[in-house]
Formats: sequence, structure tokens, C-alpha cells
Amino acid sequence: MRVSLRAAISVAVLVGFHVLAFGLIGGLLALETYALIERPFVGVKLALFVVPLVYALVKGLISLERRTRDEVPGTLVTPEQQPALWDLVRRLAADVGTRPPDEIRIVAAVNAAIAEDTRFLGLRVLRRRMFIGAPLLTSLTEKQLIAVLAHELGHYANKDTRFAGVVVSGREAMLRAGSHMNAEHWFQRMIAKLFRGYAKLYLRLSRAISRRQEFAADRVAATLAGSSAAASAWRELPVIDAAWDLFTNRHLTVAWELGYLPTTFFDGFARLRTSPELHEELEEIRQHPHDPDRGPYDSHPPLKDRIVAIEAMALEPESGWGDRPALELLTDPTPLLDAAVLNTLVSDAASKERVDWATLGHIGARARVVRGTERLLQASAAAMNRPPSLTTVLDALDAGHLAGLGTHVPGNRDAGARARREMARGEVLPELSALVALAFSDTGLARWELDWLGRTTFVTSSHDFDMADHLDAAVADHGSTEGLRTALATAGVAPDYRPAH
Amino acid sequence: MVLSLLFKPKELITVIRLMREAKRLGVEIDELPSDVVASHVLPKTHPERYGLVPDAEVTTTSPIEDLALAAVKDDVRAGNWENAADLVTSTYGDWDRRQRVVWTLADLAAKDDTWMDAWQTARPGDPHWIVVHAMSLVSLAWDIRGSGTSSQTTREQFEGFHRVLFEAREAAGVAAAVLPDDPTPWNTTLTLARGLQVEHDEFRAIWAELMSRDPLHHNGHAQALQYWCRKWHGSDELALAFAVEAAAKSPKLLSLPLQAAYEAEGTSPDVWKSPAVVGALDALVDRLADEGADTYALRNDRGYAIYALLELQRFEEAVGQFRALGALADAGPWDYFAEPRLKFLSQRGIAVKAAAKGRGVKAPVR
Repeated sequence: MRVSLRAAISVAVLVGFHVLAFGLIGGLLALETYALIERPFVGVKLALFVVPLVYALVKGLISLERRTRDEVPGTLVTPEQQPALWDLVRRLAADVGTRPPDEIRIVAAVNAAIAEDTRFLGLRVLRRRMFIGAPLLTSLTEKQLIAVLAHELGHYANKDTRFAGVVVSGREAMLRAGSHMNAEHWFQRMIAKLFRGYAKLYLRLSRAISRRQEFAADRVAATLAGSSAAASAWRELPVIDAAWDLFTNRHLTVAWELGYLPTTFFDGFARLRTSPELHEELEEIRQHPHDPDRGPYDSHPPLKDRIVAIEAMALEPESGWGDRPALELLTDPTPLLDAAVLNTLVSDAASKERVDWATLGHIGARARVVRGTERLLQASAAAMNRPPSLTTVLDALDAGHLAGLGTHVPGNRDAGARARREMARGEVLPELSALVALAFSDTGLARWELDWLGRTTFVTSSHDFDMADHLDAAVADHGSTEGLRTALATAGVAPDYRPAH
Repeated sequence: MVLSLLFKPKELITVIRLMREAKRLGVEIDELPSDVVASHVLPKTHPERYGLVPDAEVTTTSPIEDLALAAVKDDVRAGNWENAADLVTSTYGDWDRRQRVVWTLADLAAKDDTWMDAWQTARPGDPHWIVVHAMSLVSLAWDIRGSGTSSQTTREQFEGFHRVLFEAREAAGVAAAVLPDDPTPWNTTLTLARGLQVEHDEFRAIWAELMSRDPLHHNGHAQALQYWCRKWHGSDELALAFAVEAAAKSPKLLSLPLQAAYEAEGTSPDVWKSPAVVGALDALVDRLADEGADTYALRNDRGYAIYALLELQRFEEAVGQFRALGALADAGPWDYFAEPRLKFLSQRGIAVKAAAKGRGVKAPVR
């Protein structure tokens, strides 16, 4: 089927959607009016059926038309603030042949996108916004960034088919279809089902168009940035994505719940991306790019096919684009990028205390360790009927309470006291070990270090921190906590030590 | 519990009767008392007409075979360790009995080891203590793991299982060093090799150590057979080859090929008809003709012989073996089942019914 024909059908389906909904509502209301006039008694009974149905239909339509009143994500940048970036985007839009965005926003995601506020399922556009991911700005070269932005603008180029832009907006609206319906309610559930069925039909019809549009947009990107820059950008995106994932999950928010954030964000991200321990893994992703999971209705062709197609075009870049880092497009980038990240994190991000990366890693790791010792402290306190502390734990062990300090049960139901004691040993030993490590750390003799892979290591300046034998002795049958107590006292750990949160 | 008996369509009617019975008694079908189930499920025969004991007399309780061992078990439960320690010491040289004594005491020590502590305190460095201690760790490891499938077993149970098995291996190594001629610690190492997933070559090395101390170690052969089974670290073929080779060494190991076949029948249905298995069965039946059923080992041999005879439709001979077993359903293969007594009675019923109708292969005249 030709693209234009497919597009025409897609648009017809979009229009049909409204016709279907309005037709149903109109028909039902007409029927109801007729009934009320001719046979009021039947009309009242019928109203019991018609009113909720019309209500559900109207609600469904509203869900399609509703412009997200939620806050638009990202940090807004004006042409005055970032003239170079705006100039670039405007120039690209002109080259592509579409109108420039009304807004540019910097977001904390490995993504660039254009989104539009639309009416009538995308048939009318109110406002066009361009979102640019901060990690892209710090990780790509200018040419690679051009490829990415040109691709997004290329979706609205309207050169290959008149309705293509409408199809894109329509897809976005359709994906929202029925999203505001109340699933508890029988009527609304039925209507939501109807809407969704219709949406699926539309998405399937438009899928081929969307795929073709991706390739067409890639061609736009390659034409402007050159094949090699576009292909290298596409290879780089999964790498940045993986690095950003690791960065946000294991580093940026490692001590979030405790109220800490790093002093600066993107120096850490840059160090992570270039760290030797990650080099191999990132290179592996670069050589074998995998598509991110974009959900069931995604229209992107496989990344590998797109890279092959771009390389096959062998297009030279338009002259005049630089090979410098994309970051140089920005005036005073650090506050802007950090603000974009802060904006994405939830609202109380600004109230967090800011510490350097090493401190942040230590705080995050320590908190995890503290959580891992609470159970043992509480169990010992209960067994000894004393406040929880390291000494209470050691006293409980010396008093022969080991079996009572555990919670895990052996697999054999007929197992005896010895098996329960053995299970408790396996549970208590790592917790006691963590508690002792905390005591040393809080005394200033040791700390946790977090490498960029997200692995924690316990480092101590003291040569005689090898507590393994003392710990084993503390939980052994006929064992003793004496060695451990002596070592702790030598290190200057207070007898009533208990890790603070 | 009785599901294995009910998987055949013609027994559906029995299931319905059982459901009705369960409803009448107000319990779930799985909770029906086993004698009630038995009365519905088991073939109606008249065992006494064929010289067999009545159903009601069949029991899974073993008669006391080793009086001294039974006595020290009671002593240990009462907290007295001396006689147990002396018994273990006195079995040195009688390796099969030593194995039974050590294992029985190790099982007790795995539940509660206060008497072991007392023994160690009173006789520090007693090499026989270490032999029992090592085996008790194996038993303890299995108590921690339990017998559930890996999905039913928690991470902590697996970790405990492995940790204690490593301790057991170390202890067995110490025991083997202080009693260099004793095969028992080597059999402990051989037994725990399954749980530690020891590689074939390493296992063969342990096996060679055991064999150099007691080439016919009865329990060692049973343990090794398990290792070579498909469900552990071998295959149907490896297990059968091992069992046939062992059976060729001594008539007392003749039931091993039948046990290997029993383990393999799920994946190799024709295994019972293989010449090696039939040959071992014939030789075993010949050997058993002159023997009773006084020991657990003999009853185990007869049990597996019965299972093989039924598979080969030699019902009349199977009835003969049941006659020799009498009332004792305490050994293999019945002890593999959740309701050993029911399995025994149902197999016996099948044998009697078929033999009475003259079906299957007649017993040869001996």
C-alpha cells in the first residue's frame, strides 16, 4: 500500500473515532428524548441505562482531548539564555523544512524528543516543544547531537507524506485513549475497551508508516550530520543510556533517602563514563547496540537495521558543523544541567544536603549496612532484656542464646536443636560482622568506598582489622567473644556502641 | 499421599468412592486415614491362602537387628555417651557394622549433640569421636536442607547445607588421617560428595580410597550408586554399568543392578528387560533361595527382587519372595514411598491376583 493511501486511511480512522463517539452519544440522546416524549414511563427506565453510558462516553472523549495539565518536564531555556543552542535548532528546522519548536527544555534523560499539545486527536497542533536530554549534551559531539535533533525534527518534515505529522501526533493521542476511565465501573470499563480496540486498529494501521518515518528521519539526520556522525550517535545512545542508568540508580540517589545528594552531578557522570572498570562493558554495548524497551506500541525499527541503513547512505555532512563536544554549545552549562537533573528528581531534591562523591558513596553504603544489623540488635535486646547495643549482642552470644537469635528454619521438619542453632549461626555471623565493621567505621578507622560499577569495598587503614577468626569464635559452639571484645576495646569502640542512622 | 496409586483411569471410580468417604468423614481426601484408603484401593485378595501373612499384620517397623546398637541408642537419648563410644570403638574392623553404628549415632547427634560434647570432653582426641562427628555433620546438613525440591528450599537452607557439608568433609579428612585403615570416614566423604557436586574424577579418587580399605563396603556401594544416578551426577547408563560391575564382584551386591534399574525406569522404560538386569535378578533369586529375611539388607534385596519380578510379569516368583518377607515392609523399595506399607500391600495384591489367575511367567522348577 502506498504511504499516502495508508496515511489517508489512518487519518480517516482518526476522524472516524470522533464520528463513532459523537454518533453514539447523539443517537442515545435522540432515542432518550424520543422515548421521554412519546412514552415517559419507558423513557425514565431507559434513562437508567442511557445516562451512565453517555457519561462514560463523554469521559472517554475527554481523556483523548485532555491536554496533560501536569507540569511539563524539564528546564526551560530561552534564546537569550542559550543563543548557540537555539541558533542550531532553528537552523536545523529550516534545513529540514519544518517550523522550529516554541520551547526548548533540558531533561535528565537519555532522550531527545518533540512533543506537541494537540486537539482533536492530533489533527490540530497548539504548541511544539523540543526536549533535549542533559546526558546527551555532556556525552555527544556537536555533530552527533545534530544527528539526534535532526532526526526528531525530521519526523515533522512532511516531505514524504502530507499527513505524516498528523499520524505521529495521532499515535500519541491514541495511546492515551481510555486512560482516564475508572476500571472499577462496568460501563466505563466497556467504553474503555471499545476505545482501546479502536486505538489498536489505528496503531496497527499507522505502524508501517511510523517505521518508514523512522528511516526517513534517519535520512534527514544523515543528510545534515553525515552518515558517520549519525551512525556513531546511534551507537552511542545505548552506551549513554546504560551509563546514565547506573549513574542515577547506584550513585546519584545512593544516599537519597538519608537526605544527601552529590555537590555536583555531571562531573561524576563524566568520571563514570570514562572509568576503567566500566570501559569493557560500555564498549561491548557500543559494538552490539540493543534497543531499549519502549513498550508494546513502539514504532522504531531495530537499531542495528537503522545503523546499517545510515552507513549505506554514505552521506557527507553539510559543511560548517563542528566536531567539538556538544557541551560547548551551552553558555555556563553546569547550573543548567544540574537544574535539569534537580527538576526531574522529586520536589524535595533542593532540600538535600550536598556532599562530595566519596562521602556520598560512604554514606549510602553505610546506611545499607546499618539496616542489615537492626534485626540482630533487636533480637539480642529482646533475648537479654536490655537496650540494643554491640555489647548486648556479644552478651547474648556468651549467654548461649545463639539459636534464639536466628529466624530461619531448617528444611527438615524433624530437625533438632542443633540444626536450628546452625541456621542461626549462618544468619547471625554476617550481621555481627556488619555491626563490627560499622563500629570500626564510626570510630574513624575504616570506611566504605563505592566504585563506579556500584560495588562497595570496605577499606581500613589499620593492618590488624582481620576480624574473621574473632567473629567465627564469637558464634562458634563453645566459642568466646573475648577476642572480639579485646579488639573492639583496642580500637576505642564504646561498650554501648550502637550504629546511628 | 496416595496419588501415585491413582494415576490410572480405571481407578477413577476408586477416587470417587474415596471422595464420598472423605465427605462422609468431613475431611479432605488427602487427609483420609491410610487404612481407610487402603480398604478402598488395595486389591481384594486372601493372602493367607497363599501362605502370606494377613494385610493387617504387615508393618514397617524393623525388628531389632543389633541389640547392642538398640541399647546404646536408648543410652544416648538418656544422655549417657560411654556405651555408645565403646560400641563405636569395638566395631573397628567389622566395617559394615561400624558403618551402621556410626550412621545411627550420627543421626542422633545431628538432632542433639550434648552427649557428643560430653564424649569429647571426657576423651579428648578420641579418633572414633571424629568419625561419628564427621558423619553427624552430613546428617545435620541434610536436616538443614530438608528433602524439598530446590524451589521449596530457601537460600539460607542451601547456604547452611553447603557450609556444613564443607565442615563435614574437613572433619572426615581429619578422621581418615587419624584412622588410616578405617573405610568409614572415606564413606562419609563419598556420601557428602553428592551434595557438594563433586566432579567425576574427584569422586573416582574418593572411591579408590574406600575400595582399597574395604572392596565390598556395602553402604559405600549404595552411596556410589546414588552418585552415578541420573538424578545426581551420572546417567542411567553410568549407574547401571557401575551396578553390574559391582554385582560381578560379590553375590552380596547382586541387588545393585536392580536398584539402578529402579532409579532409571522413569527415563529408560526398557531397562528391566536388559540382559544385565535380568541376569542379576536370576542370580539374586538363586542366592536368596538359601537365605531368610533376618537382616535389613536381605529384606532390601528381596524387595528389589519383587519389584523386578513384577516388572517382568514373574508373579508366581514374586509371591514366593513376599512369602519370605512375611510381615516386614521396612526396606527398599517400599521405603521410597510416603506410605511404604500401602505400596507393599498393593504390590503384594497385584502379585497374588495375577498369580492366582495363572497369568505371567511360571516359576521355574528349582
